Amino acid sequence: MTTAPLEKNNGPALAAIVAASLGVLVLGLCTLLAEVSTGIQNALNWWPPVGPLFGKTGMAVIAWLVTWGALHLAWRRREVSFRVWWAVALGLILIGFLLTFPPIFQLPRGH
Amino acid sequence: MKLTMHGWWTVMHGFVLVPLFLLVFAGGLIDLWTLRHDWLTPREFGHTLRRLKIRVWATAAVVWLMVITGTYVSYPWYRAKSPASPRSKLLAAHDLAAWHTFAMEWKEHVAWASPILATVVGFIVTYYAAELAARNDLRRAAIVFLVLAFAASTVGGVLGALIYKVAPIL
Repeated sequence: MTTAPLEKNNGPALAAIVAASLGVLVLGLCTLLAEVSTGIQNALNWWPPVGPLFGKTGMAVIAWLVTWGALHLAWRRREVSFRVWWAVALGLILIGFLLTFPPIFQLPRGH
Repeated sequence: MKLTMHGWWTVMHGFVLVPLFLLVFAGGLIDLWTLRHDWLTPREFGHTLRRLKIRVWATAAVVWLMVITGTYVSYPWYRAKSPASPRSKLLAAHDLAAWHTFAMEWKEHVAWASPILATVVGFIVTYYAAELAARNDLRRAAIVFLVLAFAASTVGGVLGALIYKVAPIL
């Protein structure tokens, strides 16, 4: 049995994980904010046939990629705390998932 | 029965990509789970790693195709302003409205988490490669992300199929 030596830091993996979690959170936040404000809903309507869904998912993808790039540059040569950042990532994903659940994001509609 | 162009796209989105996704996801999950030096011979390890890279990237590619075709091809037909569109029909009938206000609104949003999470799994597997077997924390994190990607896709897929049964895109 051979084991590969650990040569790479965990920074790049956690940068990808945290950035994706932030993307999911932004997806949830945009979903909620589009219900709260008609102005935001209109601002997210980037292409009328798809409606605000285009802007919500577009914002999530942009937030994910920009954060990934920035965190990758910052953490690419670092060993960061897996326990802390993994907990942060799971928390962000949980909130993001909850905010895409209709009974929660439709609360501002008042029914 | 003849399929319209809308019908063909729906078949592509729901009946071709979904089974393909299930196939590559299941294979990727098994490979990721078994990628351990103490479970595999060096020869098996090499094969598993190669297969794993293909399967996780295939999972990410398929799930991107699913959300892109779903959002930019099928969804505009679903939500068209015409009274004959599935959305209009569902909202016009009081007992069917929840298929849009709950099922469709959940599906259209949560499904987009799936490609983001699956892409990260592809990156981790490619970047760490053989080293992943010795990094149980990252390998487990990749497994959790892959399962969460599957869960988000499953919500989208199952609700999509049910909505199609109630109000198909014709």
